[in-house]
Amino acid sequence: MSNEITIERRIVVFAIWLSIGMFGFCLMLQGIHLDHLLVGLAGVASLALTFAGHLIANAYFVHTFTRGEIAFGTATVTIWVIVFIVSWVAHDLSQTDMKIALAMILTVVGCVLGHLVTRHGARGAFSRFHVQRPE
Amino acid sequence: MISLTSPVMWYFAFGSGFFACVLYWARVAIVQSSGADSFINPMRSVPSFTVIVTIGASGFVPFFTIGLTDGIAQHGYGFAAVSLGSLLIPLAGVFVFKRVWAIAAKLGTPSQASFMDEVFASKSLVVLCAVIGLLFAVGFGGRVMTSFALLYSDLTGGVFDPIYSLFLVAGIISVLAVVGGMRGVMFAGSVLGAIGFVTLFGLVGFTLYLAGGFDAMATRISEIQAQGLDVNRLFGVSGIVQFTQGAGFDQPAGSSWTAAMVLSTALAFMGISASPVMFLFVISSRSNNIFGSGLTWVSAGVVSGLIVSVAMIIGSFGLINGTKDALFDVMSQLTIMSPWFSALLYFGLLSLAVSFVSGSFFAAAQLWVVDIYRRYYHTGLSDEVSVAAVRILIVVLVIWSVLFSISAPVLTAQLASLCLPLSVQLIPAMIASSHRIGIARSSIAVGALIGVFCVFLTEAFGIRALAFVGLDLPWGQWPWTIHSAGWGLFFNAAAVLVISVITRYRNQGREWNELRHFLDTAFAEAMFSRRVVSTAWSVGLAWVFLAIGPGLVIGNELFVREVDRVPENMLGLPSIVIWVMIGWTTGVALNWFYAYRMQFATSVPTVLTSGLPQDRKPQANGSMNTDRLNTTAWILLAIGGCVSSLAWIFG
Repeated sequence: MSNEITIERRIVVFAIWLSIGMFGFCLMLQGIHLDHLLVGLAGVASLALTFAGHLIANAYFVHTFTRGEIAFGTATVTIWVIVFIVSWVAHDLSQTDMKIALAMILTVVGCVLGHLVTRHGARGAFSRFHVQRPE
Repeated sequence: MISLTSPVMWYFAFGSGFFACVLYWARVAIVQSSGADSFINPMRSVPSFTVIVTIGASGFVPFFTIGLTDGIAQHGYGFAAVSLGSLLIPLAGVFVFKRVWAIAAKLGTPSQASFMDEVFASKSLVVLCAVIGLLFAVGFGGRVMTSFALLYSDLTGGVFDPIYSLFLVAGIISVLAVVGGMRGVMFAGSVLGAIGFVTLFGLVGFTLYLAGGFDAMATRISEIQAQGLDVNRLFGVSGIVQFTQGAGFDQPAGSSWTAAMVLSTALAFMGISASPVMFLFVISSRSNNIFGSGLTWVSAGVVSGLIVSVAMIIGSFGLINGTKDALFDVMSQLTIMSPWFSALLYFGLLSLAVSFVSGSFFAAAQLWVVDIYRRYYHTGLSDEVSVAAVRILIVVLVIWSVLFSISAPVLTAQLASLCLPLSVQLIPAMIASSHRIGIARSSIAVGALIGVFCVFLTEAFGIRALAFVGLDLPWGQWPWTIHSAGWGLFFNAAAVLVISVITRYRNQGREWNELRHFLDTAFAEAMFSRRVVSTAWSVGLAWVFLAIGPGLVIGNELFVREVDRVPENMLGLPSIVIWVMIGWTTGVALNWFYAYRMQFATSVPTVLTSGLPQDRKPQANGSMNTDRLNTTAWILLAIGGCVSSLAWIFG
């Protein structure tokens, strides 16, 4: 039964990220391509909405983020940050592009912190970042 | 160096991700399965919401295949009324899915052919289901795969050859069915279906952006209408019916899209609900409590709304710009402006088709291996060998379909256009099996065969086949502007009614009486007043008459007023467009009414046991029945010989 619920949750998470998430990603790319801040921020907002959908799915199925999801998300954001830094160093970013990229990174950080705070409380969220030694 | 704005790069990237997603869910399905039996018998094995999303996504496929948007751009808004056929798909489901699910679970029938055999004790229906399954796989599947392959090749600027693209698409579809089976198809179908729904939204939005907004589009349409050229052909249906001899003999005045043509074509779409693959989708649901809400709000509300919107918006865009290939025009402009969005929308559209086509190949292979070969020729075939045989047959069917599409594209298209009208001939069987109406058991098979025969006589493939053996029919495809599905259903229903009346006092057999008793207990009739029952009949018939039937003629001019003797659209859009929109809204309400108010699709609390009947399980000492195999081979050779002789003498 738990295996079935896990699969159902995975289907919902996949559907959310591959539909709204990919749409948001493409909107963000379009904003960078056209140098249009609103379009880019709409993409960022879509990604934030997708993350919220993921949280709702977790709450509905009484599940948390799996290790694979955390690893995938961390890797994706890391690649995004590296691409941003390289583009910035190469002076390839316009002001609008920089704003979109920064908005994306700040939104990611905000979403993650928001999830941790709501789930574990402020102190508990802080505790997640260091190893607790057994007493 | 590859440019970041190169469509090839984005199509390759999204394609790789798409394939990875399909592989992932195929693997999840096979890891989760409990053995060989669960591969060939997917009954009650997947979450119900995946079934509904997959069924909803499948409703889009026939409209893509017939080129709904391009048809509107060429033939006008009379053709747009055909999009209301998207409401008949869930409506047929409302009437039969819940009950078919329960009966299949009780009888332990893992396929449509075995269902027909158990309920009607008819081998001819078994063979008919198997042939329809094969047509859906090879013909319909080939047509869909070819359409997407050509689109892929064109949108990537010809970098990917159409044949290479076809093998690519076919490879993805076959991997899903071979590795994951029906469970893999459903898992992937639900994920991909969600992508597809968002894609359709994006497609409509982008088309409106290209047209300069909804108001600009409406203004331009009104200008074209005011010019007075081709008004009758483009902005309404061409009468109720025209008594022409069909395609290739004489052309109807104005457009071939009369009200009769719209009605009969819309009825053909119910063939999706009666197809072998849809049967597998339905019985795969773990419970029956999803059909009411899913069919009403997902299929009829969301999916049908998207289909009608896509048809109207993209079709209008093509009409305004005078392009015959409206969808390709939109996609190619999107590719220039935004190759990543273009890739996303292309794979979103493909997402809607993958589960249905992949499921069709699986259904056909399962029917032929389990219900034909194992049942009648080799009862000792174990589940493991059956699974291997199904997988091999899926690959064979995919390759056959691809080669057919490459070497005989016209024939493939003709076979594809046979699928829906043939499949819809099974609707009386589905209704008779699941409702307590006074229809004789023996009449169903006869009616279906008569319906199939009529479809054969009025479809291009059948007319061509008969001409091959020297019999030239005095009519062409779709005579009297009535689709072959309409011809088939009419004579099918007539035969069923006549035979039922003649044999109404005969005993229908023990199994039939047991089934009736099961329906009486499991689906005890709700006590509706005569007023409610007559209202149900009246609203249904009224909707069919007005929305997709002869009442369409009223929609030609109902919302037109004369200002200084100049006709003007009252609501800024052509009258027929408003009529279709009202038809869609009332159609959704009709689905709700039958699903909830009349309780045709509300859940059934009855606890059901399932399991294969004894004679369907592999027999321990069963060996290949070579005598029967020999007899069948000789019969097929004899038929082939007769056809060849007739073609040689008279062809």
